[in-house]
Amino acid sequence: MGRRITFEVDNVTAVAELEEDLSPTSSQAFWDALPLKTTLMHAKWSGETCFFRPGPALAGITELENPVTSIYPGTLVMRPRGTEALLAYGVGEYRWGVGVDYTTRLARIVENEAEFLSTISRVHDEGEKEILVSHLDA
Amino acid sequence: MSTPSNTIRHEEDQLTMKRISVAIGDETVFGHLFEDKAPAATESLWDALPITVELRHARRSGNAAYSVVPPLRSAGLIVENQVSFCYPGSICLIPESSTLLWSYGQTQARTERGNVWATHLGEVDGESSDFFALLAQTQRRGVSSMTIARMED
Repeated sequence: MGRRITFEVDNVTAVAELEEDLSPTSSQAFWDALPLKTTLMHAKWSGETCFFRPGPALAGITELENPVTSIYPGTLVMRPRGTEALLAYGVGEYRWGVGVDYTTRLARIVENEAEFLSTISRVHDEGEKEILVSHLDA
Repeated sequence: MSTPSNTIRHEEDQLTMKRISVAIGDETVFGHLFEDKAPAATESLWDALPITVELRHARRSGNAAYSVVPPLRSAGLIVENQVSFCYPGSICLIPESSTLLWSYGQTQARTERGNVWATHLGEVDGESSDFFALLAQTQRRGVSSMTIARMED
């Protein structure tokens, strides 16, 4: 079992497991950047996903690891340099103005997925929300 | 500023276009529909007016807000005046989902399957920066409301 983190939005918490085997460098940097309290917004190109800015601590991560384009529900992915991290609650694919692009998988939700994804799906109608990402038991 | 009319006559092609008002909150802009280039879509939308619809930010198409217009669903519309990218100020319709796209920046008609064709149905007239800002705000503020009406003489 990998190291675990928590997401909290609107007092709903989910537990996720870092993808340390798939993205050892990126997931370590993300772990080191926690805790994060930032704004969760809805994506405008990537479908049923929300995103946040992990911050400058991930600027040194310049390479993709085991890259994917599809973002499965409950999966957290990140662009190189930590420019943005996306959480999918439905059908998601990383896209930009010029088309599809790749991301690195950082973590996947393993506890309370349904309630948490329902909560972040409401960002589309209710607008941006605050998200807290922490080490489990921090 | 002259009083807007519900039609515009173009000297070159002698075509008459239907004009609409589009309101988000207290901000109202005017636009015109391409009756000549998209006759079926224009007629269906015109027949549905006035209408108040929910306005949300695009999830796949980029810098645009969208509104689903249920009366267009039953019209069996096909793509007319075909475009993929929607320029700022464009009013585009994705027929398969009865969705109007209101572009304020870089926008491409997309669904979960990828790029799709849209009907370039009309355009917003004149300086529209305040209107564009309200479209953009739906990403941060969530769903809003939009009223589309025929322009009256």
